Amino acid sequence: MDVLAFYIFGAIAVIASLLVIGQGNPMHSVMLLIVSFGALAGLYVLLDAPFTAVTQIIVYAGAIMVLSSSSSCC
Amino acid sequence: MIEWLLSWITPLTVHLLLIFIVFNMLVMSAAFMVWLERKVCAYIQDRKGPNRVGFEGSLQPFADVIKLLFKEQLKPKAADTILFAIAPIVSTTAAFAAFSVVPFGATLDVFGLLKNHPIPLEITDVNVAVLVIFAITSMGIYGIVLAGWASNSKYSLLGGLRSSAQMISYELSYGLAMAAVIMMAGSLSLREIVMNQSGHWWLLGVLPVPRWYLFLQPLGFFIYLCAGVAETNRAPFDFPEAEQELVAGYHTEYSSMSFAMFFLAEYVNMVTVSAVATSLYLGGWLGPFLPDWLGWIWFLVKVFLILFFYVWMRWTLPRYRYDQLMEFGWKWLLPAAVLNLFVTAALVLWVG
Repeated sequence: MDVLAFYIFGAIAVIASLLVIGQGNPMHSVMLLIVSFGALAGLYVLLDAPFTAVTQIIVYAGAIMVLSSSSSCC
Repeated sequence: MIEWLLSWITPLTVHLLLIFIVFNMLVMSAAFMVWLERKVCAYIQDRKGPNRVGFEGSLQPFADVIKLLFKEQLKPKAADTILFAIAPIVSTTAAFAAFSVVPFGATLDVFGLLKNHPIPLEITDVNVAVLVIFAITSMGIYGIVLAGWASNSKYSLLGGLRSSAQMISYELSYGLAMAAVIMMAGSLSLREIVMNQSGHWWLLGVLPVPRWYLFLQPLGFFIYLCAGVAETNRAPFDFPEAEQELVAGYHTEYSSMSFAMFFLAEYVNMVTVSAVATSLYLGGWLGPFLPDWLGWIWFLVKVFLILFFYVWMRWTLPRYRYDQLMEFGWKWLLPAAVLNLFVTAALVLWVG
């Protein structure tokens, strides 16, 4: 069960990261990178580190990506 | 065999039942808030509000939903299809997901039926619950950013950017007010923070005062409520929402159910902020006269009081202009939150 979850989160993270560089639209890249960070947070939870997972969401997906999305949408 | 089956069916059923109850209560509370807002607004303005549809207009929100369902769903031609569709979904999902770690009652065994695994009344119990709420609230900002951008209209974009800038500015004070409570409680888990608030002090030897963090951190409570009101784009801080009256807001291009989803997300965000405020500052489900297993009644009473205060503030106070709003957030509320944190840290070290 944990192995299945690892493969799913890992696949989402890798595929989303690869799609980031292939998008024509910078806003799409930002959204795919957020998906990748979310999958990474799932991997941290599987490694018994819930604090790191939540901190990753707060800092990366919540703050840094908001900054880069507000700069890429103008 | 039967015992093996029962040993995993019972917790599964209980968890599914809890999820069902919480989700339905949140949706019903959004409908209740629509009705409450219109009635309170009416009575403040010396008139009666909706009183045709049900008893005192209580079926009015359902009438609104039925009307919205029958409206045509439009999409601007140059709008980005995927992001335009995703934006209300992100907003609503973040609003509902933040409630999954809020405890609303004591640990129950249903009249001894569940003696082996007593259920705590919440969906999950993570020991970083406060941070999870903060993280999911940060993700809710994306609904607004995407709505503003994907509508492909300058007014929507500016409205969305202003609203998201307001939300991220007030998140700082929100987090610092929470950090002061975490420092006093010594734990990030909301259930433990509520359990730390049980018991009484005796004021003047005679008057029992509950040990809520409200009395230990009045400035923190004020900062938390101000930041919470600004986070949900409500009451005096609703310049992005009221821009519609002047120019346009981030949800101009949305119609019927997408618009309904944005407003559902806003009301559920209000309920979540009130629920977290009662858990952090007002002692959650603890209350004087009821037995432990009816604690959720006190929780509902306290959440209702804060929601009533929200609605009261909206229809009493004029709204801030955008630059006044940002000045308040950065120049007044953030230093006050940092000061609160310093004083709390000093007192925790000094008094122990």
